[in-house]
Amino acid sequence: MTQAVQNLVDGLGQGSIFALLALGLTLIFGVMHLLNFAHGELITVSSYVAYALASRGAGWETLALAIVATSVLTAVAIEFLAFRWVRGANEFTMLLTSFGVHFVVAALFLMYVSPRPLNIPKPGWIFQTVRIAGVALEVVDLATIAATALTLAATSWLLRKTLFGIALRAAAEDFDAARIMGVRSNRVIRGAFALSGVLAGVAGIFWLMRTGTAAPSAGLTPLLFGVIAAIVGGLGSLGGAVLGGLALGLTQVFLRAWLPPDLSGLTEGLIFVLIALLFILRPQGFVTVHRAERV
Amino acid sequence: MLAVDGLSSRHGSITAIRDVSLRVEAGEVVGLIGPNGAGKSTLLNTLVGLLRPPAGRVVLEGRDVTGWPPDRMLRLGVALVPERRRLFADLTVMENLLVAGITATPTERKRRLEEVAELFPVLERRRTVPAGYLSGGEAQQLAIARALMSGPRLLLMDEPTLGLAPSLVGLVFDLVARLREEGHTLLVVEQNARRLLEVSDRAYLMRTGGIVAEGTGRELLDRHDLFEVYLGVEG
Amino acid sequence: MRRDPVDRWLLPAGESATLFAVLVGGGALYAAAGGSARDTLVSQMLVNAVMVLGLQVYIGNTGILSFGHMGFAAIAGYAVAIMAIEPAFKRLFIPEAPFGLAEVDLHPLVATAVAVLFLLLVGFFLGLGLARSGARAGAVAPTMITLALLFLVHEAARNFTDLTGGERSGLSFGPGNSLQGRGWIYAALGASILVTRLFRETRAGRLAQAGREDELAARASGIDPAPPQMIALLLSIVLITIGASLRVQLLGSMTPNFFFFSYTLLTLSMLVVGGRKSVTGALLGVVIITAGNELTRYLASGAVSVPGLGWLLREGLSDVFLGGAMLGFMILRPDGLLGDRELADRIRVRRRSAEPPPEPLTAGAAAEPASTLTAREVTVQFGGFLAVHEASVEVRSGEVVGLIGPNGAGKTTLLNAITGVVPVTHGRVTLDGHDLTGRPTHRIARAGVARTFQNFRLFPSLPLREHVAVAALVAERHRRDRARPDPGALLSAGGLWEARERPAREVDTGTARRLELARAAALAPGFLLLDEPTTGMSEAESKAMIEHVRSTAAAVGAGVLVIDHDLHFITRVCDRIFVLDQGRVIAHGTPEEVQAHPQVRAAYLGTPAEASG
Repeated sequence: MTQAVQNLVDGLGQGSIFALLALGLTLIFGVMHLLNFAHGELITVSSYVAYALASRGAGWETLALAIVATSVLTAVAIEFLAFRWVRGANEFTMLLTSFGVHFVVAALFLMYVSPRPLNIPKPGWIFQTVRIAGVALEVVDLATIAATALTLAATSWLLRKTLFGIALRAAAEDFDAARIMGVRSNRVIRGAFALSGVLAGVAGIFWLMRTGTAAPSAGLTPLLFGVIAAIVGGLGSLGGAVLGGLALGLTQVFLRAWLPPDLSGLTEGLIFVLIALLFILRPQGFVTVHRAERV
Repeated sequence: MLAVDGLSSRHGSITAIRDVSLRVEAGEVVGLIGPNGAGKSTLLNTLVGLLRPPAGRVVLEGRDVTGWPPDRMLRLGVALVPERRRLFADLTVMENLLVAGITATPTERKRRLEEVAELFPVLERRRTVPAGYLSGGEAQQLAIARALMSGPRLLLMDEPTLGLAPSLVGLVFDLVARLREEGHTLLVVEQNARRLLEVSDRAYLMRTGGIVAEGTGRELLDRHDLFEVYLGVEG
Repeated sequence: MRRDPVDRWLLPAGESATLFAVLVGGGALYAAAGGSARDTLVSQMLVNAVMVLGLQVYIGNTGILSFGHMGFAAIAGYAVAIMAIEPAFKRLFIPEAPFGLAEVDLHPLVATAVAVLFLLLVGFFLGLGLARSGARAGAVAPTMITLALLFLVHEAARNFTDLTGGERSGLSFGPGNSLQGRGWIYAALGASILVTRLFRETRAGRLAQAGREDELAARASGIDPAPPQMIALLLSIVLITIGASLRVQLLGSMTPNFFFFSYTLLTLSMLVVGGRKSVTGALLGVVIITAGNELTRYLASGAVSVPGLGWLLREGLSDVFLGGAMLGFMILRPDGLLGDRELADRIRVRRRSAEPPPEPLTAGAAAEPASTLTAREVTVQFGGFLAVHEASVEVRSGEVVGLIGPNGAGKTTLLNAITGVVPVTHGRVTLDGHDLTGRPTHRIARAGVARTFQNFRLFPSLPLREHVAVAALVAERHRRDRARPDPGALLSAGGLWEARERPAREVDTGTARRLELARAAALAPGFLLLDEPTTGMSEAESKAMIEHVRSTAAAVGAGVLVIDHDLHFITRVCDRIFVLDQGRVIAHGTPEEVQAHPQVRAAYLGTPAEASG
């Protein structure tokens, strides 16, 4: 029983990271119909900034802020330099564009920093546990869940209570109608990227806390899980993205717990099998986007 | 207020308009009737800036606004109630109105929300309902209310009775008449030619991309060969 | 307009031979001028060419972005390595290999053949999955499925160390065991070029291309894209497997990273730069990227110092070059340098222009049996919205029936319901008593119900002639028992003969509409359903369409159901007219009867304020 609760919290902790990434991806998909494979670069770039600051003695409070800021700046920069030029292109072109950005950024880090992974010291409390109701839970999981919940709440507030957020949702639903209402397309798209940057930044904080590594491929694994979660969630639904991320985290943890020890390295592989099966059996994702009727 | 001169436009495979000229004076209701494929929607979409015309001019209160994009046209005071409304179904009534008021200052926005609430009391009651769940009549009212949120000088309406049950058609034309009383200027495209001509000061009849007849609403209504001219049938 | 053997086989074969000669000759020259490093580079380039051709035959012809295609290569690489490495050497790496694989010793050729068979099996099942998901979820699904494959294989390779040697050691061929000379490479390359070039001209290739251009239009022309896509996939897998086998032998080893992200980037950028839709383009891309890659690697290695550019010329520059090339081309020239053009296109077009003009279209043999297409009480409901309500229409062979009504009346929806594009909520659609209700669109087309589209749907990069030819291909197989019109005559009748080599994206509205009619007629249908065939045409063109529709229908022996708003056109072309308003049929009769009908007048013009509610 305690093991199950620990796994649950662990899974939610991991899943929170995926949920944040999936949400950012879904936002961008909503306004541009682009599945942004370059989203992982936000974490990659942040990892190097974090390394640079950490090696100068900065503490994790500073690192956290820097990671989020870097993430936002990188997201807006990528939109401005690359995606701006392919708005409205077909899916093939947009997918390859995002892959191209991913490769270029990874290569730039290889060129100018180091091909080998660099170490970011993890915060001391990350290995501590806390007893709640008699169950030992890891602090890092609880912190991730708490931070994610806060971020999601803030994002929800932004999307519902601010004019910017309402305009963003309107543009995601019907871009041209939003333009007729006076919404400026550039602002909305840039805003979507910036917001996805904030989300990826928070996710990046906890991802980098756990892995402690800055490398050209640092963003690859979280990206992949984020993409999978977004698609599982149906790619149209913000709520679905969050659920998809949490589900993925839980699946990962529970698979690892149930598989016999010598096969546990195959966890990732099995997840991919499940994903492939999902695509074959239910390509539209799990959350049926319950769209209010079209008027 | 609005002068269109020799305008030509097309949108992919959808009908082109060729060499269209018309005017709208301040405070008028101008009707635009004609069968489908005549180019009426193409004309409105070009006026509001969704389509860029390769030829011709659009002049708004003396200023050449040909080819300006939608958000600039809106800030100049040209608002469109799109064909089939194009409401944001997942957003509530209030959110739809707020987005539509995005170009206004907060004070202006607040004032217009009050005006809209007064004109459309049913919307006020359904403020928190997602727009997708509104009935046909409510939806059309919301669509018009949205266009009013930008404080337009010229209101373009594309087939406001489309998809509405016949009993609601009267509601729409009552609204058109009421808006005119309040001093708005309207250019309305409609399927229901007769009703539109009854409330229009002047009207144009379009067919296959051009204007084939014009006059006051009464003049066109009184033509005995209206059906034939409308559909291009000879005798 | 038949394509003679020279056009279909000889020219492509000649192109293939030329491309082969240029690549091999150029490579040999380059290698002769330098040392063993150049030699290896040329061998690698030629093997990469085989891989890229494998990508081209699938991605180029079907338009499906199979991003993880190298997953197949990874499986193939391991299969060949495990089977072909000498047991003495193998035992050093994978002594615990299951199924006694450590003792297997096959000649690389045999090992490759076995691998091909194995991969074809894997590919077949994956292909079924791709077909199923692609139909529902668009471009993202195949990308994710093949990416899943790529990662799965990578993970499995890293973890099943008993079988693969894992990441640290991998598998290696013993000294003296790897590829000697380029004989096998030349053979593989020559065969690959020929096969991929010829595939473009085969029935499967052409149907796949139509599906790539516009899937709905292809289905409406009787094409089911899934079988041609499967054939392209299997062919692609054969080439990829051979290429992987060569690469593994050339490099003398196999590790999990050999066919992973780096190699995917390399091969995809080669495919994209030259033009993914053409074989010449793919090979051009191979050469350009190889050259650029080598150049950047050379510059970055420090062998040359260019003053002022030290910051740029560092390790990793070649990856920036590759990613940048992919990015740059997607932004500036998504179709690549050559688009879909092949080497001998000029010659081909010149020969085809010299074709004699076709015989004029004659009225079809009156032996076609009389036939009736009926929609009975059809209701189409979307959520709560009733688009079509118990509408019944009927068309018989030889007659032209009109379907008119104000905007939003449900005319196109009714057409979509008849042709299987939208589901029928209630009611039935029958052809001579055979139930067509709810059947897939391509089967309805094959049964003889052809259509055009309101916002015309052409195949943008295919020439006008190919639109008609591809429909004729379908008719050849599925409309055997009917007199089939000559595609050239159809083009000529539509005024499309002169422009027949131009790609469809370049034509104006009137031409597009006439092309859609010609494409529909080429299917030798029993019924032509035309959706607004004159919208966007000038008055003169619309007038000409009256006779054109009648004569085309007569030539093919088809009944016509036509939707249009131009009543001048409708009253002259139709024998009978159905009037739809708010989803219901409100009137039915001859043009004169319908025009005088008060409800029809009211539907179009509306009723005066006093009369309505």
